[in-house]
Amino acid sequence: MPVLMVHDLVKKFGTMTAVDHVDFTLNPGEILGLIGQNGAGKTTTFRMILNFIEPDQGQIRWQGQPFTQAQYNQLGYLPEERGLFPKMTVMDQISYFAELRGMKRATIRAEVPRWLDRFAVKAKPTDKIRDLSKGNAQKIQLIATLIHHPKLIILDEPFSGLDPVNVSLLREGMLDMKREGAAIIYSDHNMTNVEQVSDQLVMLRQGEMVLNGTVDQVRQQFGRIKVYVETTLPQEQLAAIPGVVRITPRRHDLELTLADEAVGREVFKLVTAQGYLPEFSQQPPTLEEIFKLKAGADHE
Amino acid sequence: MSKFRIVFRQVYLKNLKSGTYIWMVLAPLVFLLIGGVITIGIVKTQQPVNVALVTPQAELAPLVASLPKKNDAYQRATKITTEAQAKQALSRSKLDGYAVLTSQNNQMKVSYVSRASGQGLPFSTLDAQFNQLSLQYQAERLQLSGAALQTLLAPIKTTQTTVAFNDQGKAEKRDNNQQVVNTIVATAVSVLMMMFIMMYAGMIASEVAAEKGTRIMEIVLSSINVNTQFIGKIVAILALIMTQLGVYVVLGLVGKPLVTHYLFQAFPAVKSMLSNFKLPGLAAGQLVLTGLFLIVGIMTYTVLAAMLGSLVSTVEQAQQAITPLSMVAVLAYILGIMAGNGVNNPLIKVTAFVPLLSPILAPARVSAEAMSVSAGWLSLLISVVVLVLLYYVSLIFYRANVLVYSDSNLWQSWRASWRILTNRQRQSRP
Ligand SMILES: Nc1ncnc2c1ncn2[C@@H]1O[C@H](COP(=O)(O)OP(=O)(O)OP(=O)(O)O)[C@@H](O)[C@H]1O
Ligand SMILES: [Mg+2]
Repeated sequence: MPVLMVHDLVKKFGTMTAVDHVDFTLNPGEILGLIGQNGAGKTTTFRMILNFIEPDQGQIRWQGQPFTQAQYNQLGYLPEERGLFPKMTVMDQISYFAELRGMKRATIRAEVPRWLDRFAVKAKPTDKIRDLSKGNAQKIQLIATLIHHPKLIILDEPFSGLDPVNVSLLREGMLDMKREGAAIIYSDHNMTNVEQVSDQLVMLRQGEMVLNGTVDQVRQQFGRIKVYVETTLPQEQLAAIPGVVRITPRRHDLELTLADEAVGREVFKLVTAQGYLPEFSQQPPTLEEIFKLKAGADHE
Repeated sequence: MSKFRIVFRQVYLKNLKSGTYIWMVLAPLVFLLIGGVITIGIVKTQQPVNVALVTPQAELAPLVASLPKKNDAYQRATKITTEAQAKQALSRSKLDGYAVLTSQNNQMKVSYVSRASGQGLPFSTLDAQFNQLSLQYQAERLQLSGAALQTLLAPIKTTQTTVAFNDQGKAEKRDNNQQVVNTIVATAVSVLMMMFIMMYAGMIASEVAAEKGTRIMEIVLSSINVNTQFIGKIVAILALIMTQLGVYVVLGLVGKPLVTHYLFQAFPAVKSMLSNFKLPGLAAGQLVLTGLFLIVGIMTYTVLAAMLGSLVSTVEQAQQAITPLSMVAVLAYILGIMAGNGVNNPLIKVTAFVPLLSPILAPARVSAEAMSVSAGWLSLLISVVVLVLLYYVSLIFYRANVLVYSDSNLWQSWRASWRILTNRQRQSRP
């Protein structure tokens, strides 16, 4: 049974539609990336899932049921804007949040040092929050989100503000939780982390779902419309092929964007006419390219 | 542990350890202590004036000896019987002054000598005594009868009565000082009430605003029901009030025997000073009423402050958010001071029953004996009913506000929260 099912979700603020018919399903052990630019409706979607605001339309089901108080302890939530009590110690702060999720004090006290280690937090349990660096504080908050081993984890832009080392620590952490069977939904502004951690992705654009599916599905959806070729032929000759939309010179080769996968054959014919060539590769667009494509596309 | 208890414990312990709370609990004790030290200081420096009363004429000696050895005004050095001795004692600062009584041609004469660095002699007391002595002397010399002498010596009789009216409308005797005491007690009640109310209101408002501002509210509300959180906070504040009152009760019980045993023993003057007055606000029934008003009053302001605190998005705005509440409290405080000063117009009479004003006004008026204790209980009942209503109203607004962030001003936030509220109700209708 899916941990979370979101069906046909709509939320309007006045005349503006923040979330527009959003659908997805999340199974145990799956990670879903909710991708979108600023104002796309990611946080609003989370807030509806968390029952903070009521949807104007649509349903949300937790393990097949509407949200009840019983689910609080199975949930981990990292809000978009991070916040901790500056005067509290690391231990007290984590302890407070974890107790609110139903954990026993003794268990928390025993587990905190392990978690600090795991996320390489440079702080002792007795340190005050206000003395921590921003990144370390962020990791404390992450620990507070995960320490009770929730079944559903909601992370609103968890990667923002982390350096590359911490980004990979977080990815590892997410994959660990996934292996334990947790379902994770997180939001991000771009596709950078999607390929490494996501099973599914949903892209929102002004509240609408513009992409939805597994990473492979999404990429295949566009076909192999990218050709990377290293050739001595002048660019004009390639551009003259019908169906070549755009040519972008790169350091050693050219990147051709095609209107259709089939155009690739024409390009191949032309560039191999003179025999040997060091590189010819036809690929689906990267997620980043898809993101830019979709984010920039006109509203249909 | 239930989630209610987790919230309760967190809010309770955090504030219990805070400097603001500790100061608030100690402040009245510090004032009391300072007041006590000053009183003792005054009593202590008021040492009796040492005088010697002497006469060189043997026939006057019995008369002089008949004068009191000690009274409120002075203490006599009875061993000193001659002017020479007195002079010597004066030079050695054993005396503050002396009086020499002589008689010439049956005319009595007193000359006073006092030391510049000593305490001033109580001339009026001494004069009166010597006048009395002179009358007695002349009467004996003229051989007046005992009865005639009595009549002659009888001083004019004066009486002073100030009355206050009790519950049954019966006049009770009071002396003038009592009114002063009433005013002081009523003012103290007003000041303390106002101080406690504002401190607790500020405490809960910044508590709520801080959680909202740090976005901890979002995590907490994804862990527990908003109603549970609200009641956890409110009950924690209630517990803080009870703790504070508990501290006073314990200190009172411990302190009373200390005061009566040691203080009164060491400074009998303090005892006689206090026993002159009936402390109206300190009678058991009124003390309980004042305590309950304190609890109900603070709780009323607390639930409103929680609601107002939920409107703003940062701690810094919390004080601004409770400004309207502060203004009501200040109004109540001013009226309370007026009530303490015996102002008794219809406006003040009515406001002693108005919730938010009554927690300050009613105890002040009861302390000033302008309002009966039973009327005080009625006013308390009204306050309790209104408190329950305000609790639910505040909870509804709190629920709507805590997750709405805006940079707009208070009034706009207020309107936004109202919109959300009416929206929700429309939606919940089928
Ligand atoms: N309480 C609210 N009242 C009015 N409009 C709102 C409210 N909350 C969100 N919005 C609007 O809804 C839209 C979606 O906002 P949302 O916060 O969901 O975006 P987001 O995808 O999380 O963006 P970001 O990446 O910047 O966090 C935005 O245009 C925002 O201004
Ligand atoms: Mg967001």
